[in-house]
Amino acid sequence: MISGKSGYPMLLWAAREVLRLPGRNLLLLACLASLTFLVATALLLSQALDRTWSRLMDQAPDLVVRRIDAGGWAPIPVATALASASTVPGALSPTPRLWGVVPGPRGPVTVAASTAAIPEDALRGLTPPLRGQAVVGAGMAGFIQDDRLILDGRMQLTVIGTFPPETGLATHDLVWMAPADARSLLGIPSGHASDLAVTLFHPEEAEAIRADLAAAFPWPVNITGLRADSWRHHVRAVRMGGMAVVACVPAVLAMVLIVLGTAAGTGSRQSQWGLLKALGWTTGDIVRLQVIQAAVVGLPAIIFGLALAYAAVFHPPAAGIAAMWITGGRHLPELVLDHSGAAAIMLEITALVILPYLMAVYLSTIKGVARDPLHLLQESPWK
Amino acid sequence: MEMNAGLACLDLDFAWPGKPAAGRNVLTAINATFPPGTLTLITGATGAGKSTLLHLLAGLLRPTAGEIRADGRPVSRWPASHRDPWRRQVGIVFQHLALIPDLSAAENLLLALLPRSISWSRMQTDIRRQLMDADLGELAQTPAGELSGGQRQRLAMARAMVGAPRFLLADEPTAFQDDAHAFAIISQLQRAVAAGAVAVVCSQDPRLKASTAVQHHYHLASGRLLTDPDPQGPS
Repeated sequence: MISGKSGYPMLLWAAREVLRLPGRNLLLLACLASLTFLVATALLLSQALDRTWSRLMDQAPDLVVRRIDAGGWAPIPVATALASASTVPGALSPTPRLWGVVPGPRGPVTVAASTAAIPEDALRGLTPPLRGQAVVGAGMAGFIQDDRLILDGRMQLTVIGTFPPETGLATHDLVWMAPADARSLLGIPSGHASDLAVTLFHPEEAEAIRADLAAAFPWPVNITGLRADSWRHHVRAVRMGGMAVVACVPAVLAMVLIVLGTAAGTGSRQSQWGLLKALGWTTGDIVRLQVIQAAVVGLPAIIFGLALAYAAVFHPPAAGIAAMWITGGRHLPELVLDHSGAAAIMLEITALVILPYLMAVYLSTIKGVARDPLHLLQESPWK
Repeated sequence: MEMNAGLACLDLDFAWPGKPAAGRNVLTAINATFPPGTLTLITGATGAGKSTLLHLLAGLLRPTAGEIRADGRPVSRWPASHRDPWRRQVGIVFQHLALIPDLSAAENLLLALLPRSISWSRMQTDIRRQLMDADLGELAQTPAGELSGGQRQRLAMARAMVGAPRFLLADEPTAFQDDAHAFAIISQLQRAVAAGAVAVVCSQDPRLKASTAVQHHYHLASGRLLTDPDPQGPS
């Protein structure tokens, strides 16, 4: 749009035109920045939740086998379980895990003693707890006094560390402790585990191997897959983002109406367009000027709105406030976003904010300028 | 000189749409040629249609019948996409001046240059020179709305001249001017004509009627354009 000798003066003139109506353009900038902030916050949050969950799920086992009996979950005999799983082709590295849920200081908490039950990212840089010690998630840190944690009203542990905040989605209410402590707390006898984690040679064969695994064990088992969990969280994140975007639709429409109202212009604006045509400007020149002018106001507004949204999702304390506001009080972990996620957000912002804005400017200018120059000139009296 | 060079009106009629004006056209059967290198003066009573004729010549209106040719080309029949860029060859001074009051004198001139493919520095040079010619060099940064009537008139003339137009059309260009500035404007018109421009001026100013710079005199009355037999007499 801006090229050659005529582009640079046109850009300068567009900036000058913006300064001619500072109040109107400031209002437009604030309106666009707010709209971008609202839409981008919702989209970034859902995208980042999805991405963060996926990253943690990548480290989780493909299948988890739990023994069930008439009373519900039952401890799984480790030796028998390992022998049974090893007979199933494609099921690799069956690993017994020791974990469970017990009453904590402010509600139920998850305790885990085997590293297979905790994401690898969460374990990085942490020393495994010895007997009487614990490593806790960020959600637990607030309930601990003098490094003491009491679980089930009977076991007192010394807290020696906390999981990294970026793993909060999986470790928020998690307590990592020594196996002996966990067995005592969960009532799991020696030689038994809570469940069996299985990695698959081909994860896409999970559904087929699940049936083979169920048949291989001598007792009834319940087998859950990673894909089902991931899909459930993905759907939840997408639904959340979609609902937020739908909620922003009235704001988008209001913005388009404001832009149409302002860009369509008054009589004096049209008479100036008439003058420009009398001076040799083409319809294309006038539309180009208006679109550049819209970009001069719109680009900083959208960058500012995006920066605010990014801070609100990824940078505490703004991130905490935004998460509380959007989720209605649920605490959210530190989130991550990858390049493809960021690109998707940019595409969505382009479709929801930038395109309607530029189209409103373009169409209203075309509509306003497509008349004989003299009729435009006479739209308002010249002083 | 090329046979068809300059501006020409061929059987030109004009009536405002929806305004039959008691059954007659504003302009009727206008046939006239305005050759390059000449200054033509059109006189006529107020409301005779002088400004309308200039607007037609500038391609701001379309005739209801007949056509306008510019250097032999039927510009009045061209679609807007062709006529709009053609107007870069036209410099026009409106009767109501059509200056943008909140823009400076220099910025008002810049508007005429922006759509042309010339560099920013060349635009600045042309604007400075034109403002000096119009005796407005000191007022380049003054908003047009703060200029006196005479200064605004000269600014409108400068805007018409700044693009070195092939066709110069001026409606009362010497209005509000003292003698010195009126003759300066006539000199500007003379210089444009000497450079080969077609200049058509509508005015009732006796100083223009009496000027030797004017080569052709027309009088517009009852919608018809006639050669003025007594250019210096009362209109």
